[in-house]
Amino acid sequence: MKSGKKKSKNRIPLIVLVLISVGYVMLYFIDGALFHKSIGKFSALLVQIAPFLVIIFFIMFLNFWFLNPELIKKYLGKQSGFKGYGLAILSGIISVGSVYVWYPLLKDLRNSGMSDKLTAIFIYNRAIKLHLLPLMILYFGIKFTVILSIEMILFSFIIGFIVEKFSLSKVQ
Amino acid sequence: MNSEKKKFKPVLNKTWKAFKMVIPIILSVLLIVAFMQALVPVESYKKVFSGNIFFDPLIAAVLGSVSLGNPIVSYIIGDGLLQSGVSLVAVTAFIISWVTVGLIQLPAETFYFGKRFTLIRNATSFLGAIFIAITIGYIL
Repeated sequence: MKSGKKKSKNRIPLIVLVLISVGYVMLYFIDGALFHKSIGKFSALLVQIAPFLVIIFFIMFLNFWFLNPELIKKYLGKQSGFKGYGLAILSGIISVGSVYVWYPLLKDLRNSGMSDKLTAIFIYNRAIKLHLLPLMILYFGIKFTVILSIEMILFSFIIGFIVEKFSLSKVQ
Repeated sequence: MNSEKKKFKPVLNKTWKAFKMVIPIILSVLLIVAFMQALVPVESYKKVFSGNIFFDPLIAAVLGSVSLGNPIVSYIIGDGLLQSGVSLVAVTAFIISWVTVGLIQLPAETFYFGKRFTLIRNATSFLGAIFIAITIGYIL
């Protein structure tokens, strides 16, 4: 039942693509000029992105190879201090998959003594997607990507401290 | 060595499984962005994003916060907005809030971490998106 639900959820992107393609077919008959203009722009965008998909695949493979939730649990659960910050940042950046997959693990870690600060830092650094950095460089340039990543890492400390200061999870 | 050999195929399968989920998403977004670029004149975006250093990132951060999906989508849309003349500050706020603020994920996050943690984290992330965007605008 659950796997059937997951399977149908996995099909959603494909269904959306089919619907959009049907929309394009309809556009061809309604407004041929707009169709050709759109296809031209689509082709240019696709050619631009294609080589980077290979890099994304390779980095995703490395992530899956070296990283798993159990490993994070082993190193983050009992760590604190500067080492804990470093691990929260690093594991947040290299973690892959939906955030929903990580929520139960993070809750588990919090119950095992991981602070709200490190939890917030981990979640924030998940926004820096290691496997998508090549694509970000493609679209916005290397300077932008480097500065944004550094700023986000630094800001994750602020988020961590604010969340820790105002969160009442310890007394809940 | 033997265990690594055994690991290779399952990891490759796992990667492929995750990757092939992304492909239709990318194609869909590219098709939509291409259509929007062909249809909507550049001037239309300038009506919403006037170039104001505070309001542009604020509007963009709101849009990013209510959006959900793979960050690739935000990059493609962000690039499209840049091509349409929207400022880098606004685009930055949009792509940061896309990945750091999750209004649609609020119920799930609240379930696991509590209301207070979730609200503070998301509110700070929202303000952070605007702050980082503005500083990037000054730096670049």
